[in-house]
Amino acid sequence: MSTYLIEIHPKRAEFDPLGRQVKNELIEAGEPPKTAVVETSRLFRIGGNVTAEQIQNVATTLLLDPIVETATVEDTAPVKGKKPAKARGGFVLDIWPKPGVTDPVGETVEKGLRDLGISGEISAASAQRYFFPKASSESLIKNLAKRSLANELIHVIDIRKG
Amino acid sequence: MSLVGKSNGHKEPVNALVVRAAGTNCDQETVHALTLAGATCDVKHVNEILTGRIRLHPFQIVVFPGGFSYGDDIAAGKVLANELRLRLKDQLQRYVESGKLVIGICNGFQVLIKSGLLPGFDTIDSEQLATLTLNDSARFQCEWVGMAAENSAATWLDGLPPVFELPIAHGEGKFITASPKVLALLKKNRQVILRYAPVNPNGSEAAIAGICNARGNVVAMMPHPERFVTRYQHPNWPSLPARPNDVGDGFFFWEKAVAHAKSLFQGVAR
Amino acid sequence: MLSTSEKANAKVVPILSAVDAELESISKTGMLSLTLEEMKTIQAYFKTAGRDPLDAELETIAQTWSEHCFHKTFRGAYEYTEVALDGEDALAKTPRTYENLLKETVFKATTEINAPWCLSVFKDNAGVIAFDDEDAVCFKVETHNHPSALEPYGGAGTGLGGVIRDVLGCGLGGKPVMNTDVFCFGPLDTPASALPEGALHPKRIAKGVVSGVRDYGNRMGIPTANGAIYFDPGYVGNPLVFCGTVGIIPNSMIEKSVKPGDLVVAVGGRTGRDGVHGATFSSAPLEKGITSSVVQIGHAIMEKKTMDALLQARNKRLYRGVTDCGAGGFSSAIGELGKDTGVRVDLEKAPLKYQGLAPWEIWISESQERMVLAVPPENWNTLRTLFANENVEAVVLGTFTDDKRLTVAFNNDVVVSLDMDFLHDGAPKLRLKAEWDTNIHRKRYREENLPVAAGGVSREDIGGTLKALLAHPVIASKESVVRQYDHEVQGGSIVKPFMGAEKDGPTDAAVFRPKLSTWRGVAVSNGMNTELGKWDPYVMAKAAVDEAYRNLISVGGGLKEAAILDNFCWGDQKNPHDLAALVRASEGAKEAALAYGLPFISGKDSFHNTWRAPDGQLHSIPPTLLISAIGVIDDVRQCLTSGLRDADNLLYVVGETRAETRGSLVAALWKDDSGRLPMVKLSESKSLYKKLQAAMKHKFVLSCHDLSDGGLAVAAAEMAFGSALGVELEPGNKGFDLGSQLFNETPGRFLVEVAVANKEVFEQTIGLLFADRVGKTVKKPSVAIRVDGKIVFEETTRALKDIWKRTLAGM
Repeated sequence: MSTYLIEIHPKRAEFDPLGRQVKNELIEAGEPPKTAVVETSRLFRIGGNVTAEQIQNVATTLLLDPIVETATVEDTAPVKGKKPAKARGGFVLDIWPKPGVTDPVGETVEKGLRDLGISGEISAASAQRYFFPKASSESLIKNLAKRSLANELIHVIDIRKG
Repeated sequence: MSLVGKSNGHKEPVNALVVRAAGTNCDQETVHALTLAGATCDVKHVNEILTGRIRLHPFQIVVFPGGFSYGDDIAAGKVLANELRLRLKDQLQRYVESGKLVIGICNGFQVLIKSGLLPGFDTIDSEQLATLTLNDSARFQCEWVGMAAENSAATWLDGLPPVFELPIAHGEGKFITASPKVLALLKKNRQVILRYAPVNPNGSEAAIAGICNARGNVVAMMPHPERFVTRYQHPNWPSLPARPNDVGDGFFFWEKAVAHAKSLFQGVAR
Repeated sequence: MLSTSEKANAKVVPILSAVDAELESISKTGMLSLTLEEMKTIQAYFKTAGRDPLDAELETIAQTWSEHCFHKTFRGAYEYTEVALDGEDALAKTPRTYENLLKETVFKATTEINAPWCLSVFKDNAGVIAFDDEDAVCFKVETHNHPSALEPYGGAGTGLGGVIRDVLGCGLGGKPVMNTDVFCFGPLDTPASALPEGALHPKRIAKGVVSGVRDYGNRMGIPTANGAIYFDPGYVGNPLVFCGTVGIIPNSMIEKSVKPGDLVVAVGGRTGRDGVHGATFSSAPLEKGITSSVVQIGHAIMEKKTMDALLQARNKRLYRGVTDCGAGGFSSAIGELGKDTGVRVDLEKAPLKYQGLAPWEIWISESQERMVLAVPPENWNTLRTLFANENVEAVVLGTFTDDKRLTVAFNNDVVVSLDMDFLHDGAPKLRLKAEWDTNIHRKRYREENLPVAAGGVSREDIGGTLKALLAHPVIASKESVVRQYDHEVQGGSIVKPFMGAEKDGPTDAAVFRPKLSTWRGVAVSNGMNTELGKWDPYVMAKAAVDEAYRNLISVGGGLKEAAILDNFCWGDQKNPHDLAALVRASEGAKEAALAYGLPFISGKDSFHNTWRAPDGQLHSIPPTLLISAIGVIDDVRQCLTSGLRDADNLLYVVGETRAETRGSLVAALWKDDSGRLPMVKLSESKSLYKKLQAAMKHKFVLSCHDLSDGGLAVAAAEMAFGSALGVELEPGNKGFDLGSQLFNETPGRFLVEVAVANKEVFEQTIGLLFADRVGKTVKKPSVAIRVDGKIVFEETTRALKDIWKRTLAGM
């Protein structure tokens, strides 16, 4: 059993209208317009007997719109000697559904996986990622998350340094 | 039953197949429009085609209607597009090569573009060359917008009113090509059938609202011509000038599709 | 029979020897929301049975007797007294007593009207009226207030999903053809300091609710074509979310039945822990520290698949009965279907989202997108295949019996064994005191909840008042919201939310064709007047019925049969003042329904709409009554809209304008309560509406708009918005100030456009007393107001429209 984290992000800012929308909310939350930069991406956590090759295929043929997006696949299992990703600064905010909360997107991904010939026990969950490369206050991001992007009754809010 | 050699004007009905999947929701108005235009319609779940219970070849028109196939949960139309590409490719290829019509409306356009039937430089493109992605507004938009029809490789559409209005209802309708080369080729091949005019509601490249394949028999658009088959569906109908049979401009699209399908009876090999 | 020894799958709850305090504590710790009297009734039942109940049995009773499922407050016995009045009508004979308030007011109107076109009222999941020779239409409006307060997106989405299932579960299943949504929020500019602890900001709630309805309704392929959004500080801690669905159903499928031996079949989504205690939760006040299992996210495609399969199975007559899993989950749905026969359920057969649920949790879980069918055994295989082809799970959970008992087992271990009669008819009647005291009512709603943003315009400033009203969030264009809803899907829409030359003029009612094969249509509208209710809920209710009806009449088209639905959203069901407001509103609604011959066909009541302010005080929302109206339109091609048709036509107010500004939006704006409260002259209006309909039939009326929020001037401006034309208003002298004439909200009025050539015939048809010529249409696209021939105000239609569209543009 492996678990993979797949991140699908817009190729360019012009393909990220959600980011533009959240930028306004970030400013409303108190971030100065100069440093109010938001990038968004979609996250998928996929578990099961899935090979690295299969997961690449899942990313490119199921999850990704190749015209406007790129994909990054990460095996969440710790690999010896794996270097941590280079810090980009700012903060990353991931919003996952709490366990047990309906995740229709995750269910559709599971169907898509079977269409690709992946069988056996599989699980898929979906999340939204926001990246604030120039933000300096974690509490402001937390405030934004609680105020407008997530609801702790149904979401797990994960904020960390970018 | 073979229809080869049957002449135009023959009573043989045009058979249209409206394909639905979980989340398809414009099948009824599509059937209504096709029926008004003179076609006989079957509505079938894609499962029935995937399992081979239903074959495409008895139909002259196959329509992928609007809706949210499989919720549009990953990207609009993607999951149904994968089903077509992975499990129905050969049959679709044969069907398209026979010259019969494939029509995609809204979600159907998203499905056709993500399955490679459009832009359709080949019968089925080996990779995705264009997409329909999130509107610039980042939200769903339901509104009536102006359209300009272009003379295109889908010559059977010639003679549509030059400008008219249709409703759009989508969140992911922004048309984008993979590269300027693709856009240039679309223009060179006369594959643009409709543009938004004067207002581009979603940020589409070159204000493109609908395209066809190189051969002109796979046609798709984001607006909904099936929602404007009578003038009483227009948001300013009390003040619109009267018109024979009270038809709406969207009706002409379906009328031309059925007329073209009828012409296929004239000696076109099946 | 059940033994009370320890069970693997259920816990014995010892109540036989419990004293009052213990009974109360059992109810509270179990989140059962059962009163002491109810607990005692249960205790007596089990004493007779000679054993203690199991947890699943108490849960079942709590669900079935909950406010949500049983309407116990509205069905209660009342003693109503009037302590103090100040100009309001006294209700006849006080103290006035009711054995069952609902039955003696709302139901009574329906019984007395006894309309032949009412095909199924108050007994099914939706009300049904006749449409044509083949089909009927069904309509239901529900509320989903508390879930939407906690998780607006999920709450609103599942609220809509729930009411859609009500239509799917009406008769043998209606096909949904339209949705309507009405929201009540706190003002969007409410300061954070005014929010109750833990409450989400109205802006966040509004955004979440709108996207919840959008994402669910659009995916279902049901047009959201009608609605309203109301703002009031009284909703800051407790927003209201009303979701309604209209369906079309063959005449032969309006009735359902269940026969012993039929299989209990569950279809649709799987069961999880989500929604456990949803029904009892809605029967408790909104306070912080609520458990999160009551908050759910909808799965529209699951419901869409289920609907697609269900309607095919319906057409093949594969099942005999159907109902939806709403509040109380399986316990309510199966209990209700098996009420007259008896039923045996084996819970281990229920497909689960994940393992680890106790049997009682499976039994009462409110997981979304599930329906229950009564299937003759010989149809089971066909039905199973049909659902499988649509990728929808269908499983047999049990069998309907003939023992009039509810028996629920888990792996053959019986966890519920109750008499159906006790379960459905055993609840003790609530005996309630209702006390009307004007001073207390006004203090609560006029002083403590004054509009935050209102004020600052003087009565003399006509232009300023008009602009402020157009910018008022209650009046301002809701286009930014409506455009997110697919209101065109299914192709039936005729009178759309926005119409006219620029496609952005407002309309009074939604008109659509539920079947594209006919020009016959359905109109849907609503009426609500929270501001009036702060003075007198009796007047509010009459005005709400009047407004909903007028909205229907405005669209013309040869309105045939019409009916209404009630949705009462009330505050504290233990507070005699709140209950007095309920009695007054119920009486008002009954009177108006009777006068207009508008039967109530379905309804809903929601209590406990209370919240704690930052000062710790428990507040009730303002008494809120939504009246939703539905009517059959003979020929949609004859419909009228509110957009002006041509220049140099005459404008008439049809109806009498009186100096009644109290309870209007403009009174709040002027901060002037000195005016009179409006009268709703029901019998006068009834005959007037008939005359207006006659004038419409003769095509004397070119366009029509009902006069409501903001009065004449706002209506005139809105009619110009729906055209490329302008208006000149010259209301003349009625013996009171111009401002009141232009902006007051006297009920019973319309603004209509009439060609000069039809002046005489129109005036004859309406009668001179009520055909009040107030101006004309002009080519110049501006709104002008004349007094004694002189223009006292003029502004371009464009500028006014911009003001009207700006306030909520960012929603």
